[in-house]
Amino acid sequence: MADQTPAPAIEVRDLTKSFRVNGREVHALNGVSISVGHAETLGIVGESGSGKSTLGRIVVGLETMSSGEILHEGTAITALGRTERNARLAKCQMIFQDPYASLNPRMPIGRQIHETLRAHGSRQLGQNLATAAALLERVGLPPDAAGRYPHEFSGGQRQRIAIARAISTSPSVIVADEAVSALDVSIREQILDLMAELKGTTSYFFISHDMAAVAKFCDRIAVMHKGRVVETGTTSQIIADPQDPYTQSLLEAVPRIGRRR
Amino acid sequence: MTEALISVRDLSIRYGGPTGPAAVDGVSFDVNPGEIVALVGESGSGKSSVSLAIMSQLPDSVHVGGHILFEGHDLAACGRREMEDIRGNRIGMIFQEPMTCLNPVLSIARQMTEGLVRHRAMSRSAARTRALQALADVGIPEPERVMSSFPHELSGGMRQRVMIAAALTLEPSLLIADEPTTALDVTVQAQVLDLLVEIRNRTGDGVLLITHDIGVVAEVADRVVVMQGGRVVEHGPWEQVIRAPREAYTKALIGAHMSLEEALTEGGLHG
Repeated sequence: MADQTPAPAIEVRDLTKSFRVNGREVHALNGVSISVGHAETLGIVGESGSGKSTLGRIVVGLETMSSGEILHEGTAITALGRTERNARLAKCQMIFQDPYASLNPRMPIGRQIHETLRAHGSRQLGQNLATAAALLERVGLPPDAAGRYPHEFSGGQRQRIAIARAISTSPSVIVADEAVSALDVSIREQILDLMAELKGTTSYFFISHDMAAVAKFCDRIAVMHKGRVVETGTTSQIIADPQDPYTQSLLEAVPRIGRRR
Repeated sequence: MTEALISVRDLSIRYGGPTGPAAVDGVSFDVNPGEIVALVGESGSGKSSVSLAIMSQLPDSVHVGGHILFEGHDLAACGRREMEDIRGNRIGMIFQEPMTCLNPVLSIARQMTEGLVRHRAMSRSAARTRALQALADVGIPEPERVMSSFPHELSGGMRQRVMIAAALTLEPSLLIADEPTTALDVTVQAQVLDLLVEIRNRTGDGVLLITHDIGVVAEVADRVVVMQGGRVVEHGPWEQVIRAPREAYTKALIGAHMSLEEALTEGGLHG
């Protein structure tokens, strides 16, 4: 690594999040500490209710934390004024599971990428549309894609659009929350390959319940269970030598071609 | 040779009426007693349309051609009442999302006993005893507590078990499970698959398992029907289809799964 900066791209320290449900306090996150380095892909695996999505939403600023600290390149986000905090959060993008729900159905996708670029200070429509066309080509969509609407695309193509939009602002961090989970397995592979190809200098939080997808895409893995991180390590450590019983049960449960029940 | 529970013969389904494009075209397969048959394909392959046709749940505007025989009787020739007697009673159905077929405002007890009272003319208390047994059979630890619960009070895996138990109370001879584990966490999926195999072993029921997941197919299916674009592209015993696939599409499905599975056996590509 030629990287000179010692501070990780994002560091999360002792993060907690509680919700009140029917008057009862529910702890979604219970003291989570993890970090992701520059250009590193961190997989966050766990089952529904483990807190992995809440963590991702807090990282990009869609949700607030109850306590703890998030550091962007060593600077605590809570210590910043609003302008600077927004500027930092603008460098974080998110890819959701269902691109159909996160794209505007009534706007051609070129315009939607323009909107994203405009929100980040680039106001020239013509220039933004040219950028959009180039991005859509990079994610493997046909040349006329920019003028078409979301419903004209398949699920896999829509996820390509969501990726094009997420990388349009050259973010430093992308949180991908179950970004490939809803796709057919052959398409899932193509999208994972595309994300790997376009990774560049961006750091990834790759949130998934799919151990295989995480193993394919990520440098390191954090395993979450009931609002806590139960194990972290390099992908090969976690896969080859899982220490926590919960990690072992997750790996054991993945359906495999060479096994019968 | 035993008679097939269900025989699908040259089934075609056209959503645009008789002249519309075929969503399903020339599909034939059997499910025999004690057999788990997997209908596998990606989205748009027509696999769910086939299961809807078997349950006569397609709207009237949809044109269905060919034959579906249940225990030798042509379902197309059945009247509405006869079909109602078969559906839910002799064919049990398990769906992907239990919340969409469990009634949110009725207790589990009420929903578990409804079919027994309706189809079997059982008394409420006899139905209750049978329902408790069915819940215990699917591995629910506190059946009494679950009986008095409402669907939203149960976890996803628990709801899926309740739906399976409800289908089993009527002792159907065929279970149709349409993506029964797709919405579940992987550890819960493993438990539900074990449960399906256990039910087949215990009751000798036939199971039609509809899934997009070739890994699930490899673990539990006796016979595999691979669908693509509304047609059957490959059909045979699991050993043959999974271990020695002949068709390019089946090979591609298995290949895509294997490449992800390899990431798990080789400790990732970035190790």
